[in-house]
Amino acid sequence: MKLTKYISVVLLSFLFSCIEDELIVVESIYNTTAYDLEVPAGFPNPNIPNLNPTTVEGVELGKKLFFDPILSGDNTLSCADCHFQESAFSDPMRFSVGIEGVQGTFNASALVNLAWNTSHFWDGRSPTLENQALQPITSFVELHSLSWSDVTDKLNQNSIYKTLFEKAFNIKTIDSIHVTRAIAQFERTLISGNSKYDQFVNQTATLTGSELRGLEIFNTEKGDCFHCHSYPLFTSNDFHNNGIDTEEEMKNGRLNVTNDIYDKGKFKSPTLRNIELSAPYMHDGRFSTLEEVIEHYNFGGHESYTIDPNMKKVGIGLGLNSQEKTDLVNFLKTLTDENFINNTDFQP
Amino acid sequence: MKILIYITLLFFAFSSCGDKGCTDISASNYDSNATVEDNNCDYNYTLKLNLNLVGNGNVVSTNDIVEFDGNTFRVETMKFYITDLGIEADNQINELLDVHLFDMEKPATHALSFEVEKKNYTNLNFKLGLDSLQNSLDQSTVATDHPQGTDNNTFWQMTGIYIFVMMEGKLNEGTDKEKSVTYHIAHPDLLKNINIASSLNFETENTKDFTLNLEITEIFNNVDLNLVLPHQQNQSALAQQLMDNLSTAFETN
Repeated sequence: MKLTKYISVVLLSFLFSCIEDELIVVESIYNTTAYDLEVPAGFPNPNIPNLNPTTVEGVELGKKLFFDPILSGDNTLSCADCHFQESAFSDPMRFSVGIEGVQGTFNASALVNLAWNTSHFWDGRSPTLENQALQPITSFVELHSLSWSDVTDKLNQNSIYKTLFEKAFNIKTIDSIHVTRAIAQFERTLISGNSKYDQFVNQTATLTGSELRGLEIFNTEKGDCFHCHSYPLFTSNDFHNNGIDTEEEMKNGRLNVTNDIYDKGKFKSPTLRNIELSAPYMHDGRFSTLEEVIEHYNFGGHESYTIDPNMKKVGIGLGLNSQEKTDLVNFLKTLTDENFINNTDFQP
Repeated sequence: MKILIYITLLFFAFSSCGDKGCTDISASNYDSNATVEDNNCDYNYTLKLNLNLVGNGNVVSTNDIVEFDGNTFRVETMKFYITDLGIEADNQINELLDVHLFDMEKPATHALSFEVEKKNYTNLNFKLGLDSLQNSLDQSTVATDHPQGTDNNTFWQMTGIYIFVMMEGKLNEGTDKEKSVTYHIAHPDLLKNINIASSLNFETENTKDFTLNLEITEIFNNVDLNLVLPHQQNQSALAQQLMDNLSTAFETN
């Protein structure tokens, strides 16, 4: 009996010494550094979800994922293939082409100052960037992975990603929650606030006579643009029917999210920052140039029961003459931020 | 036998003591362990203020249609700033809040709650709009969901002030008098002081529910519906008429 006890004690002590060795081997590599978003002058602080604070490691991982076709069903298409930096991370094609060669029915939105967005997609169906990033991966007309588990299986077989996810999130098994958190972190860094207009506001640049006249049109009854595109974000983050379709032609838009018939034909008003670069325009990319967009507003738009009350010149038109239209375009071009489209931090 | 008597006496002695404390469940310092009242209960006095947009007395939600003077109005947007809200007792005003934005689409902005002192308040005072100090707030210094934050889209960069009242909708839909309405009212001269006589006696009750209704049909009184409100409004008779109407359109239940 005594011998049995002795053997048991010796065995147990060996066992514990082994466990101690194991603990040393599996020491965590999780060690994050807070990433300070550079908030431009005049911008409010963005709302960062408590569950997904921005870190250097998370942003780097998100960027790698954004540019990696591993997220698509056949490993051929990445997020960046429909969101080009030189186009303010939008797609110059009217409708992007997914891996099946199928086109969607919406123009890929520009990715600008997303940290301040209160909803995402043209109909605003995603309340957060994390939720937004879930959807294109399995969408038939986009990256079309058959399921999220297909994607995470591929990532979990990749030793580089395994290490990066552990560093950023302290997880051993990669899941969709952390993939989208990483992408959202990277997308929140896509900040644009150093356009010529910002420099004018900060009194480090001057606008030409034409640009100043365009600003006047933008900010007054003449153009009435500012209601939905107000400084500093140049979006109201709200949904409007700007009269591009007749009542019979109107798409559902926001109605698909709210089931409210009074939301039919309403789409999110996009930011006008870098608008010069993010053609084509409107939710369906129907206008190729800024001149066409202004021509629509100058026409006044189509009447319908959901047309925005701020579209005050339906059936009348804004009455802008040729010079005024040119001035307005010239002002809109002052919202182009060269630093944004050349920022190497946004490149793979 | 002696021991038994002794134990019995001890039991009665302890059980009669009990834990002393506040036994009134409505008190702020209610003690659930107390079995004996110590007469030291403290009470909170709470004013619950409910703000409603109403049309002919009925609460109005987004896209509801109200009728007035043979016209119809479908309400799409209604936001207004209430500032310097206070309650008055014995000619002294207790300020309750600095700035609040009522937004028809955001139910959280329809109900306010305040801890107040135990007094008999006879008036509710507030301003409709923002004073010069409130108007000078740099929007970038507050959270996006602050009443003056970017989420609310109430700041006019061109004039450097906030829109006091934002009312949008459709007049007389489906008729030949159909028309969009965008009353965006913003000018320091148009700030209105509003005083509502009220009976808020916290000497007799701990909690008072008080409902303040804005009767939307009153806003159109003597308004020429064909007029369009200009953005620069200090000389606009329409803007002044609308603010006059708004300042008398608040009613209590």
